Amino acid sequence: MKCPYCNNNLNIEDKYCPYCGKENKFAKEHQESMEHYEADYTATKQDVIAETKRFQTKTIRITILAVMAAIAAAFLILALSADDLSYSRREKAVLAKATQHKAAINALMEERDYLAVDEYMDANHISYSDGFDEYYAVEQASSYYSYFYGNILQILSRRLDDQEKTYYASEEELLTEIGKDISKINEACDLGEWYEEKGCYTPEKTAYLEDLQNQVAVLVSAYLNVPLEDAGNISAMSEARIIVLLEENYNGEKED
Amino acid sequence: MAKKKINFNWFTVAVAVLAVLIAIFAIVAFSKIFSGYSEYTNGPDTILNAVKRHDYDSAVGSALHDRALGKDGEDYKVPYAAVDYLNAEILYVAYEAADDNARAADCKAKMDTARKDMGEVAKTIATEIDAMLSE
Repeated sequence: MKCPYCNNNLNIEDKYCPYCGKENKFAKEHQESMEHYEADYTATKQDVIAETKRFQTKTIRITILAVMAAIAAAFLILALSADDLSYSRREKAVLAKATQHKAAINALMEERDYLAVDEYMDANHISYSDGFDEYYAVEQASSYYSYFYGNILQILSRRLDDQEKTYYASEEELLTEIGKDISKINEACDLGEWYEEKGCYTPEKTAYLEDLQNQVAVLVSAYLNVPLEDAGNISAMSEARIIVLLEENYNGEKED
Repeated sequence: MAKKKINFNWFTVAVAVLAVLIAIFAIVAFSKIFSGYSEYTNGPDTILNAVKRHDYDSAVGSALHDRALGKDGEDYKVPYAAVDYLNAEILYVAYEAADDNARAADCKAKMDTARKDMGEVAKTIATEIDAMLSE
């Protein structure tokens, strides 16, 4: 730039003209501008650094929360699938001992221990295993026999004086349940062609089922006052007919 | 300064909540997957007490369950024998009424065997079962 007084060359930073010695008022303004600019720059720089730090902290926190949320979601899905996984694991263990289990079941069937067959299959988680399809009819019949027998025990136990407060089902309800149990047993003994093809009705199993039905008839006759002949035909009756038969005879109201 | 404190708290709460959820879901998941079989047993006292209070359905069910899981031994001798006696006599009376002598005889034999193992409670239990079965 030029000095306004002597017109010689002058630098903007020179406070005084080196030629005429006059004060350079532009230098002062320039100095003030530079100082202002520097202050702005420093402030802006600090703001940017602070903002970046805040952003980084926020990002890190959000990332941590997102990862934790993903882990929580993964465990939630695992918890929801746990039953299936547990079933698979259990099924594998049951099938690993299939030969042993079948031998045990066959032995109990030979002894005609219907209750034990049901309990064995239940306690060892065999009832719903895919590897034991051939025992499905036996399992179903034995299971409903257990319910039937338990209800018979309840009917018998009520004959002892202190039983009123123990049982919640009335005699009528028990008879209805017994009727349903017998009907289910009958169903299990004749499930159809598909089950026959699966081996559910081999001669041994058929003999077991027939003996089971015979024992049901004998118990019904002995303890529910149904004439033996009628009890013997119970395997061919409908559920409703069975219930009526039980109610008529147990209460002693049979029609002539 | 006050603003910074609030920011810190929301993050801490969120982390705590997520950590608790992760723990809960993990515990539920692994306990279900590795829950193993239902290995509970009723025990000889449970069975015998059920017989003594005439809760025969419960007694039979409990004995069957423990037996199916292979529970045995001296402690189980009397409870199992009591339940065996009960079941044998129920069937004996029924088969006798149906004139099925062969099966009735089988049941009688089982009753005699069971009675020997019932020990001191034999008389009491047998008497009560007889009373129950005679109308």
